[in-house]
Amino acid sequence: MSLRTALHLGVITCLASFLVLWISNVTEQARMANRVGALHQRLAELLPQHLSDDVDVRLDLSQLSAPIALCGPDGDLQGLLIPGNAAGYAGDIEFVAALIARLRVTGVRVTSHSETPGIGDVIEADKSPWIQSLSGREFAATNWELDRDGGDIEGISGATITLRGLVRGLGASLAVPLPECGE
Amino acid sequence: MNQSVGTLLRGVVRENPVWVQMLGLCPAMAVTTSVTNALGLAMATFAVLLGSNLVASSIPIPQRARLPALVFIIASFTTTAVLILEAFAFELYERIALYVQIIVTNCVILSRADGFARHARPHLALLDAFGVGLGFALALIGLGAIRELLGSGTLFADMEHLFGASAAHWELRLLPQGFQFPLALLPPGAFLLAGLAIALCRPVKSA
Repeated sequence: MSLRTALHLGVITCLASFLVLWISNVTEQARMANRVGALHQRLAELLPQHLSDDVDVRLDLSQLSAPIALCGPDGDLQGLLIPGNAAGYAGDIEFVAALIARLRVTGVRVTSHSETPGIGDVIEADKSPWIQSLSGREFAATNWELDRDGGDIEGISGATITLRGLVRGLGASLAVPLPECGE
Repeated sequence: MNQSVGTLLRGVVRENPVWVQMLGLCPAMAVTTSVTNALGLAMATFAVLLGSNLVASSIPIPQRARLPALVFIIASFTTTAVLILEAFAFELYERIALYVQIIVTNCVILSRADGFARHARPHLALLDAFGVGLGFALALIGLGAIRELLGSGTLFADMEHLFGASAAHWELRLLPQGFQFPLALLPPGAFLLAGLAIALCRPVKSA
């Protein structure tokens, strides 16, 4: 009796697995194309075109765990993608910063956060242009604090704790030893 | 004929899975920050419900191992739904994939497969899935509409993630630009509104 039940369950398992396998194969091309497209779109907002083309298409920006160096043909450092996290108002804010030579920031994107909708979510590029104000700054020449703390970054009233956390986290993530080319 | 109509309508109103049976409240509150999100999850749940009810009613399910068998069937349809969403509605996938994956543990689906479809003929099981799926969708879309309206002052924003570029102008701005009531978008707001909806549905239950 229990052997029959086990066989019965086995048959159902096989049939169900075939369904998943089949759909997975049929949709594989479209799914890969979507991923690559989304990654390129995101990178294009962060890095100059000639650098974003060289990035491995399997890269997942929200899963980035260590800085990535983007190297030129002669082994010179042309750009960097640096993941980091900061203490927000309601939890950690995870972000990726993109830099080009001489540590000039070309873009910052928040990849996950749990800030208050309508208030702290000004850190999302879709919701507010604020995050663009970080671009174009040279790391060493910038005081990574909000203006009300005596720094160089203009804040937004109501979202001070969120933005202060993000700006300090960004300053800290750029101050650690960064990867180099030609290794 | 009467039995078919009864089976279909039962899940929509009198035994509405969310507001009357109070099943599936977790996804109902987690994704309903906008009509688009609610509709996306409702469509995925609807598809999984149809598939699992059809299979549970048309193949013999081992009596003593029915829970693993049904969970496996539901998990396969859920994975299929996630893959299809990833292939054809990628932006929505990125926003609600987590909640679509936990359709596996949605007790609405397991309760229909085990409690009804297993003993029913396939056409009745399909009608039941249709009714319950519609009931679930209406509950989610209703809550999503109220929360989106109160929270961001719009309705049907971001529909292009679901129906392509031509849906981008479906967005209705019913309250003035800049109007915001963040509580409606936060979890406590979802609990308050869901509690109100359940209270309003009490007369339906006792009728």
